[in-house]
Amino acid sequence: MSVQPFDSLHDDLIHDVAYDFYGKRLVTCSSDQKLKVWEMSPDTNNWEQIDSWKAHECSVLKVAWAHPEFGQVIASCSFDRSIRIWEEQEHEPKNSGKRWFEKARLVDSRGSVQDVEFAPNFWGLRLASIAADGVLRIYEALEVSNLAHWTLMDEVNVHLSRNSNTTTLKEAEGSYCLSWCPSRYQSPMIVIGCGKENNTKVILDGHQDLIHDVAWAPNMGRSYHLIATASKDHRVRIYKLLDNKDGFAIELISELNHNTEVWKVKWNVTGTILSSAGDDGKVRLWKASNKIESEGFKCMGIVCNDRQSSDTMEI
Amino acid sequence: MSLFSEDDTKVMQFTPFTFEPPPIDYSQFEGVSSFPSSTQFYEESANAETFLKEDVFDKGKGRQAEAYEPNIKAQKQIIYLNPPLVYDLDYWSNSNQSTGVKFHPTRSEDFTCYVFGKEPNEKVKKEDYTLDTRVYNCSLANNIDSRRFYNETFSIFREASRATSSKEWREKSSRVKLLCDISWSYVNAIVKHINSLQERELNTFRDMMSIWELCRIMYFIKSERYQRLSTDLVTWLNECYPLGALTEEELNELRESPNLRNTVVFWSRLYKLILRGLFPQAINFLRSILIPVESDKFINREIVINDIIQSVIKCIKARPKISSHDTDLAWRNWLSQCSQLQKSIILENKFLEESFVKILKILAGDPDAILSKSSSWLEGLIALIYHKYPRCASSDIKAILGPIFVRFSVYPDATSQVLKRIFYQRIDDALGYCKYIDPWLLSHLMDLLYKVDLDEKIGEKSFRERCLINFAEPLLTHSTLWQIGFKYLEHCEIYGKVYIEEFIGKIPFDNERKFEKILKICEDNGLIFDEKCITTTMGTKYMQIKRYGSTMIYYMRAGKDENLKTICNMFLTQYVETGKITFEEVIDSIPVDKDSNESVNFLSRYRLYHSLIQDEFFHQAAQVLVECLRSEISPKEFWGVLLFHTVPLMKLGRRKDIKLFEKIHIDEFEHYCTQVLDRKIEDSWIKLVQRMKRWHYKECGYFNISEDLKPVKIEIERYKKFLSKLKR
Repeated sequence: MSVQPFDSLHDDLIHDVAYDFYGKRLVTCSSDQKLKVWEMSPDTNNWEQIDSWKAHECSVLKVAWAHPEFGQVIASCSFDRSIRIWEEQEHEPKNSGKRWFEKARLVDSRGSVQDVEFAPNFWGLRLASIAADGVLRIYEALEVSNLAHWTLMDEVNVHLSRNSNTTTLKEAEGSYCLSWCPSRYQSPMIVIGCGKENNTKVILDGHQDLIHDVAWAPNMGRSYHLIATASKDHRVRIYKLLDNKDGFAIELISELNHNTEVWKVKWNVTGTILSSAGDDGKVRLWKASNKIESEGFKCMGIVCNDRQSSDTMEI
Repeated sequence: MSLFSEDDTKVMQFTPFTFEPPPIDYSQFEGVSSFPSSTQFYEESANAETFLKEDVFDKGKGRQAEAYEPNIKAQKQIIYLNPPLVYDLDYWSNSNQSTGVKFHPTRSEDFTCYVFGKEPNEKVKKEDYTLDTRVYNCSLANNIDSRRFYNETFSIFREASRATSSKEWREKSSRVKLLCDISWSYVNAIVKHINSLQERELNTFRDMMSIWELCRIMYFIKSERYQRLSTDLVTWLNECYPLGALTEEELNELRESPNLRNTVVFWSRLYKLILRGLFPQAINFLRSILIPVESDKFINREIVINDIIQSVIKCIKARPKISSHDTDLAWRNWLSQCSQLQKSIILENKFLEESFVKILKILAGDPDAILSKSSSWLEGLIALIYHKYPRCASSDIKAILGPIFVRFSVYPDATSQVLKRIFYQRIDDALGYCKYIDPWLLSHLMDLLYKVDLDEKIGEKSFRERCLINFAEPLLTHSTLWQIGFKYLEHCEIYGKVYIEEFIGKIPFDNERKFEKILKICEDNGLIFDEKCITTTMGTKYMQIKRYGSTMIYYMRAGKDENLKTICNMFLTQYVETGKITFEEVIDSIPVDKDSNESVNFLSRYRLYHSLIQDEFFHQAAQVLVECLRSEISPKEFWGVLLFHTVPLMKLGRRKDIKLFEKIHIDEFEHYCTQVLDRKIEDSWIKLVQRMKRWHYKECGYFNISEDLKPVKIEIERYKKFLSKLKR
């Protein structure tokens, strides 16, 4: 067990951190409107900055890397209502501020863009975004070598489908999130988190309050899918989706009490560990037992930010 | 004779087991006093905690190994990020900050933590907050520093996998030998590795070795057939949990004692030697208290004691070997001698008398004597088996355990729990605990146990796979062991391919050699999609550094026609912009044949056209140009460029009276003129001509081109007349 810190030297709060496909690079984004790219140096075994640049006119909320088959490409979304696509320019020197060139600016959103994620590479160079206007937008670079041109393939108003009311709309603002289904053996699917509703392809009931984050687990040969949600109602929920003739049978298989508002949930690469980040400044790691249905998830570890924290929470 | 001869401190010389094993040098453990990871093996429990209460093992087949979650302390890890700042207790819930996490995309137990802003600063009121911009890379996994060990044991694992399909495997007798050989190879590897380890890692590997060896004795070699289980177990105890050396205090007590016969430490040590079947050392001990008779005064007393010592030595030496043919009779006779000797010992010195009697009682298998002198449940159990049930089978041990656990408790550490369960013949539960010791042990032991037809006892076949996958997964991202990791996955029939599929694309490659190795794994496992994807990534890597030749080769391999078309069009655009063929070297470096991608084929033919013109092979050039046009591969607007190329050739033909184009070609040219002037491509065509104009006339002095293809049309008309003239 080890912890190795490095200072990102952002001038304001960090909002997101994203690994590249191999885990050899990191990109950080912040309210200081900058993106910073870091690379693991094999010589020093430290993260070294490749470049830092002002990427948006407002806070940068989320970042995502594309699959390397499409090159070194980053998408960032911001409070300035835009999504920007960045491509690395190998010929530009490191830390010149020019190493990442803006290839495209997608400005269809009528609210801050709150989440952005590239689809798994087998669906092509596709990008999903969700903005405060409650619209899920799917873009695609039809010609993968031409990153300047992105076609808006789909626009789905998340609120129109079920029980939408103005209170929910207002409340939901600021809590949109999305996650692609990582399985190559399914048609492209995406889960959206928005307030008391989750929508588009997957609808997950049972939340008592806003949903802050959703995460679709890697499938790893399982006959079903797992989706985790982080909610303001202090719960981490794990849903099982079983494919059947009429669509999906959805079952809430685990409801983990975090005791505080939960902000983020993330799965590890094999879908065996789920992390949840709460309002207590701690990250909880939940390990899946081999029989998920009967034995569920157990807390295997807690990451405490505080220096002398003693965790008294009952799992 | 020295009391503390080298025999005392050294580990007993290894006694071969049932089969002649490959040579193992156990002397490597010399001087290593406390073998097990905890001290429990030497502690007696005063509190007779009843193990039997928790013993539910007799209630039939129950839980499976994987489902078993033993209550081992410190399962929940707490990781402190230890930032340079100190936060108030309620800081997090009252501020716009919390701790976020992102998992590593290839390592399942690595993640990054960071303090994130819940809302952007545009949405929250300016507040006083403590800005922490540090990013923390956390890992729950241990570093893999046993590279050689993993490499070596993978070869054994592979051999074991092959063995199951061999001819010997089908015959039961040779299968046992084969299994023992494999088991020995593993033990050899562990022992070899122990030598190279630092102190902190030693305990784990020693535990692994003791568990592995016990499994071999209990499950692989079927000791009961040879009635050697007790001997094997006592050897195992002495090898894996050897009698520690005497402490300095004990040594001083012995050195300073005026008469060893009356020294408690002396007898305690002797009991241990007898309990553990360490008879040569015990005999040495006994001989050391023989007192040469010098004066008549003590003659009777000393002669009697010396006689008793000699008789006890004789009795020890006469202990029948368990493997001899007439064991039963010999054993009964020997026990009767022991009993007679016991009764005959009457001494003035009661301490001495009791000590001799105790020795004989232990030898005769008296449970009270044995257990009262044992220091741990393990020592007591093995001594009881060795002295009281020397011919017992592994299945009988369960019944012997009762009195052991009335007297001794077992520490809750994983190794003790595993050993206990092996004796109880609950291998499924034992394996459940192995996962707390080391994933290597669990996966390899389980793999071998499956081969001994124990799968029914262990559980579903998928458990073996899961253990192997858990072990192999961290190897996949290791810089040098990644290939072995994938090889392990190839031995997992159910989930192996899924994991290979998930991870193979995530192996970073910085050179072609590694790239080819990755592709080989894809090929071996029929992962066509991943193969293409990895090859495309390689192509894109070259594309980024503008090495177009390599890019095209990899895109051709991956069948990325669209990407190739884009590159080819890029070269054509460059020609339109500059009038220069910039792709000569690129196209020359690519092996092109008729089956190659059509865009690449077109580019190759177009490059040929230019070189033929340059070398003044006009006839051939005209033919290639027609071919290029007819293929209709290039973008439609580029057809106009090809039509422009026909103009000088038609002129040349007319001037020199050479028929470079046929009538049919001219008709086709007219058809293509109409196509180019189609309104659908009007914009791109006009742009192209504008760009081409920059160099075509002014810089190169060629004819003046125009958007309406007028020069082409005029020349076509002239050429038609020329052809009619030729015909006449």
